Amino acid sequence: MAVIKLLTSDNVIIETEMDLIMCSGTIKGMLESCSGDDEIVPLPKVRSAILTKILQWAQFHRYEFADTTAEEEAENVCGVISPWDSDFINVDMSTLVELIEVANFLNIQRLLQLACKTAANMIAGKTSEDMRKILNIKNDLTFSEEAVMRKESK
Amino acid sequence: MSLDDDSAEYIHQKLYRSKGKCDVYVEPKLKSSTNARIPAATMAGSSNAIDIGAEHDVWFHIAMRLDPEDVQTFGLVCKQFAQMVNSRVFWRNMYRRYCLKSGSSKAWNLQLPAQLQLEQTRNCDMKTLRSLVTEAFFYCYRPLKERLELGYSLDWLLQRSFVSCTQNKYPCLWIVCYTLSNQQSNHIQFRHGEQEVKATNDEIEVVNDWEALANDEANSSLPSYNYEHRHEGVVLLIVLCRQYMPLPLQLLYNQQQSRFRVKATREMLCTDMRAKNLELDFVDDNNSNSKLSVTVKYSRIEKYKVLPWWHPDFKKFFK
Repeated sequence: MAVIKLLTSDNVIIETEMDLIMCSGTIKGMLESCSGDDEIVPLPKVRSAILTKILQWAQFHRYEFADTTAEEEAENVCGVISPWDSDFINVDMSTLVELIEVANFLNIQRLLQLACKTAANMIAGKTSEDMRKILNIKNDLTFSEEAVMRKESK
Repeated sequence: MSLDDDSAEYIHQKLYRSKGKCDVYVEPKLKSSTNARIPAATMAGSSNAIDIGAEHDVWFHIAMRLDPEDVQTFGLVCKQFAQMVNSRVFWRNMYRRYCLKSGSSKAWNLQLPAQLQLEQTRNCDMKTLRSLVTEAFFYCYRPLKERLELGYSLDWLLQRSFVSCTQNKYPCLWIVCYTLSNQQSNHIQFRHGEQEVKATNDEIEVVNDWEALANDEANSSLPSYNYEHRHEGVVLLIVLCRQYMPLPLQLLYNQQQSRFRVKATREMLCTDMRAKNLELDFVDDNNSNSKLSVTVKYSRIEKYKVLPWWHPDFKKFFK
């Protein structure tokens, strides 16, 4: 069984099975362009804690990757989140945002979909003020801009 | 042909044409490449002071998974989010998610009318696209679709004040359009051709009406600015009938002095049981001493429909 070494941003080398990380389009592309077998793949945007979590997710879904095409993954926009995934993604907002960033960087569409949908569900039905609190964002809209926005979106 | 080749050819042509005439200073105009793909982060707009430290792409990806109900509140979070929900790519994505079956980009959706098909959304500006997508939701997005299918009965017109009435003749058919309103303490103005009708509605008590209650609440909490949609609270009653029925003079000419509201509606089967009659009772609230009552009778109507202000067909009839 082929093994690959991944170097995270906090200088931790994580060894994992090659098949497992093939869900990442980015790493797949990197490996295709690499010739050496014993190379370490640097992931400067990924912390080891997040990578471990992603590998945990990949381990659970490893047999599903082969069956689904990219189109099917894209279609699963309004899909239902499974109980395992729901439990897996039950993290605080900053971790969730980091997961989205890393899933986007590593090009793991299903994980990106899961994390984004969870974030969207977290803010669903909330007021703008509540959304700002959840996402930790400051309001930089002026009163007139806000009024125009409300008027236009009616 | 590349941009540089384009510029070089332009300069060459200018010089060739002006040869021997005078010295010409040529400044090639840089053409913007309209077809270039804009990265998601650029589309997301300017940066905001975000403590989580997320990149624009993260918010953009979340925005792309929003439900239609959350779009407005999401857009009001900050400028960056406002720009996201005011982009073509956002509304195209909304259309693809909810209005195209199985994510296909070529398929026709038979639930949608011709003017809301994918082809119609291609060459329009953002506001038109947003309007088209919103309208398409009423056909494809279940919560709105159910709302539309629910329909509205004549009871929904009760206690609403009469604003105006238009009658249009089509071959073998008259379309009568009543404009009714439930807005209170507001001066509402509707233009009907060149005639401007002003309506003041101070003394009417509307009960069992969530829209009016919502308006009251909004007015009390935000006294300085009215966020209402300009047509909010307006309802149209469309009646299709074969014969012309003149509007009572009291309704036609007493609009400045009187405030007629719908007191009762009746939908009755004809004696031959082949058609229906429709009757509308209006009562004048301004004459408190002797309440003036007017009844309009439409016999053997073809069809009637009650259209609230948010209905996709509302704009077709509201002038």
